[in-house]
Amino acid sequence: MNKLLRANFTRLWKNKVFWGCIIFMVVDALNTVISQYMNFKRFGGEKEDYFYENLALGQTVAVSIIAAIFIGLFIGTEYSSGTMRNKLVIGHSRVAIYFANLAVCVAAAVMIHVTYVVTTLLSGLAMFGGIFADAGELIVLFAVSLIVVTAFAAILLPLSSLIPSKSAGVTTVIMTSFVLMMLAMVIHSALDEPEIYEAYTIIDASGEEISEPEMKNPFYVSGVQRKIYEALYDILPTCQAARIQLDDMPANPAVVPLWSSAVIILTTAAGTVFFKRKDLK
Amino acid sequence: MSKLLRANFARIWKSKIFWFGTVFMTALGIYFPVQNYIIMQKENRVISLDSAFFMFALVMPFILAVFCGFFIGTEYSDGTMRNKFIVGGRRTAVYISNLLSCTAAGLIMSAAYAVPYLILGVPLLGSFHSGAAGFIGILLCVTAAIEVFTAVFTLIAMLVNNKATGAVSCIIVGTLMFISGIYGGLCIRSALAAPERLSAVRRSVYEFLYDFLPGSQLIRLCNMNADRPLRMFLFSAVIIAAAAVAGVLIFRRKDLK
Repeated sequence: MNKLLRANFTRLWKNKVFWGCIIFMVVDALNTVISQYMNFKRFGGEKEDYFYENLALGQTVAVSIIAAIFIGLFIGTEYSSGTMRNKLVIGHSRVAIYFANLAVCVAAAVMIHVTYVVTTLLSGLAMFGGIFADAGELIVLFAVSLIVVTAFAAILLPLSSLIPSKSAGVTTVIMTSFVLMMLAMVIHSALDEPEIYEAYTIIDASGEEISEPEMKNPFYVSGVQRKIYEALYDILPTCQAARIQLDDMPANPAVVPLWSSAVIILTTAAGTVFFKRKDLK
Repeated sequence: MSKLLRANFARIWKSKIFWFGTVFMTALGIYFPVQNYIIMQKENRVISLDSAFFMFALVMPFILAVFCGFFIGTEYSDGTMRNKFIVGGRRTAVYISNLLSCTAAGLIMSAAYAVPYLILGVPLLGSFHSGAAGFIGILLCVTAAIEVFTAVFTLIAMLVNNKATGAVSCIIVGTLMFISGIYGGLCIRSALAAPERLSAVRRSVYEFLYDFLPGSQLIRLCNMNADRPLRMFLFSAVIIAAAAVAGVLIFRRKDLK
């Protein structure tokens, strides 16, 4: 296991895609902070409104896509270059190979995420002259986001490990993370629909009074469907990432890491079981 | 050239991704009119046939990214490319035939959306509200905007000779083109809402980008919202021509090993 980890991390440090992802996150973070700072200079107001506490966690959902590109290519290469065969030939168990791969994928995803957070905080500190956040709250949110990012890697690794064609594997992994991200957006906006449109009265240009009575919103999700949506909103890691990003955490924030941990355990268990049985040729 | 095209089409009909895309687009073409009909019944308001007809334009770039990446990437990984040269195919002909094949696949997949949409939509939602001229104008613009994506994906896939890297590059570039267009379009629209605050140069640059970026075009075209369709169409044509010419020139010099 130690040897596998060492070999994986050696490959990680040499991996161009990984460094590409890191550089992308740095540029993205600088772009965010600089444009917020330019808006602050232009429109004025309170610094807190521009450099708010969630800004540093503002790309948590996007990490799922960036990590997918890395995981798909990194694990796919193991098949295409025969690394996987070499590992098996010298006597490593499949479970050990899977866990060593999980470790390196989680580490890479976390590093990609942390790069964005740290760059945002440091550049924000330099430009705005302070971090205007409740430190305790920020640390809790950050810790939760680390578990969510771990869950991204845990979900995507089984797909990548079970598809021996590098190109098919990487495409499947990226598309899956796209679908998970879209699901998060759809579920969030569906749950956001109000049950009832309030009654209102407006006076139009000609001075006439127009009033609309209270109306039921036909797009309001109710009944079993709402229960399912709410459950998915709690469980899916992309939904959890959206909750962190939008500061829409559940009343009891412990729900998020608990569900993430459950997702990590389940996908890893399923991944190891299928990977053990897979015909690797 | 015709032999190359025939060989490519034989591969298209056997491509799983092509059939997956076609089935997916057909499903969307069934979903939208039925969904709109249900909303119409539920809410007691009229939704016209026009409203969702061009929605396929938002999905096609992603399907084409995967399709072009794999369809052309396979030529490298399976040695098809080498075989084509051995039997005497010229590089320009190989490039153009691949571009045409990907274009044809895109058109077929778009049609796979439009046909069931119309078959179900006309009885459920009635006929089109917009005039024929405006509708055809937007249809041409949408086709050209989608073709911009095809031309760019073909360029990438032809120049990257690793299948996985090519496919991923197509997906990433496609997503960036799409998102930058939507996001850039939104920013520009809010900036153009107060034109007196912009300098003349900045304003003309913004107006140019607003119509030039393919993502910005698509998001407006799918809502049938085009003030200057001819301008959009010409911009798309310029990008397509530039991508094709650049692709052919680079591909001719490329070391194919």
